Amino acid sequence: MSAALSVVVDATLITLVLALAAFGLAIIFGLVGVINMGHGAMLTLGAYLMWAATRMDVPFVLAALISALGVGLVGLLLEHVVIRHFYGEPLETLLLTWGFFLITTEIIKIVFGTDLREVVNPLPGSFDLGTIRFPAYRSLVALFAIVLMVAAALVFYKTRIGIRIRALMQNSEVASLLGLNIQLTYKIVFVSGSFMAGLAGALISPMLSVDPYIGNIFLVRSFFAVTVGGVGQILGGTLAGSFLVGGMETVFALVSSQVVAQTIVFAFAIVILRFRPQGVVTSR
Amino acid sequence: MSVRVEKLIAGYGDITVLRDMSLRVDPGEIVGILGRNGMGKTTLIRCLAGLIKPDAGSIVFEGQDVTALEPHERARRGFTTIVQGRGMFPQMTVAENLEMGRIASGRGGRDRLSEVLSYFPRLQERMNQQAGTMSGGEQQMLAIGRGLMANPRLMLLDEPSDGIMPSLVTQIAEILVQINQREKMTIIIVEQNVPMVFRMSKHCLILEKGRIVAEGDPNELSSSNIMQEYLAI
Repeated sequence: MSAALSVVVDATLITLVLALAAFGLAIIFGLVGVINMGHGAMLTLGAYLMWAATRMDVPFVLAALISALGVGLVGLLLEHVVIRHFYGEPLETLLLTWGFFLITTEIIKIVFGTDLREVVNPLPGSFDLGTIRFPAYRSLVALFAIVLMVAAALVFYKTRIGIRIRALMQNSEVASLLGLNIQLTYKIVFVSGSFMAGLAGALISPMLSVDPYIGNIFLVRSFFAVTVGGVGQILGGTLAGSFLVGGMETVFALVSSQVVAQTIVFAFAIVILRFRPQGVVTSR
Repeated sequence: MSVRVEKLIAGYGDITVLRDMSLRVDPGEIVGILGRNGMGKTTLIRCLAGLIKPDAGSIVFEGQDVTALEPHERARRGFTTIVQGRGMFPQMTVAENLEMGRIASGRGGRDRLSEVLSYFPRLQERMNQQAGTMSGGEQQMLAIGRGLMANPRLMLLDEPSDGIMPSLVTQIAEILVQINQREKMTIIIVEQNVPMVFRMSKHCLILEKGRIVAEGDPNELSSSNIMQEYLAI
């Protein structure tokens, strides 16, 4: 019983960490239709900025915020210089963000080198609740992911910017005829998605060794999480997709190797998309 | 002068639809634009709204040249456009659609909602309903109400009777006249529904192949052979 509960806890924590990693992608892909192949590089950059900031003894929370702002700024530059000219052209934006990924990864290698870097875990160890042992930092990040998603839901459904963004998603032409500055709103969304990717990279960095490809670990999973969950369903879809990808991988990894578990989950994701291309969560 | 269009030439790529079109609309006037399919009615509305940039010519609104302005910039100057097919935000509620109309341009006041609901009391009963689940007539009321939320001075309507029950078409036409009279709002409406336009407007134009070929009040137009010649009525 205790072992089963531990598996559920592990799967839940991994689901939430993956949801956090996928959230920036879900925002950019779901809301402005850009398949951001640079998402992995944004996660990586967030992790490296976190490493650099904590090495300069910047407090952990402030360092995470600086990392997120840094990646948000990079997202702003990318959007302003390149992406804004190609909204509505998915193939072009896919290739351009892939180019961004390649360039950013090489710059990271030049600036930071290829050695593994460690970000000190601010909450090492674990705590027990009943018979279940929780890793302290991972649990905190998972809790933060929940808080972030609830906050995002409130912004999306209860604020003026949320109404503007939903209107833009549903009918951009009419939104502009009512007075919405489409380009500015796209920019805000793109930068927000970049900020979230940077924040996720920063918060995930103490759980893994930081190298120039740390973001790639999450890139493929994030894509599957977002597409299986339902593009445009940035809250329920991301959570459902993250559970199907991350949670199931955890469960399958118990009875097989990690590689076999990943293969099973990705095959399962492809089957889901074959029969339900809109994803498992859809709007009413 | 509310709207002055001078020698407008516009189209899609190599295809020219509007040819040297000029048009003047007085403040508070309702102008009805009639024409068969493919004669340039929707292109004219889209040009006026800023969705199509003309190849030549100018559009002046209340003395200012707005030809180069984007649609959202025109909305912020007092334009509102009700597109053909009504242009709902289908997964948003009626209340959210109306709120979007109020906040998007920054022109709508907080007390605007009650005025809009006084024109369309039916919307009051539907405030929490998703717009996409309403009937065509209710959606048209919402589209007009949403446009009104921004306190516009010019309303552009593209085929508002399209796909709506005749009884509701009459009702919507009467409400548009009320809005025009109460708010002194200029209205330009393009339609194929001649009775609706004649009920609303004292000044009508007929478009044929991207040009204005006739204009006048409904009596003048219906007593001539123009209707037969250009509208097959």
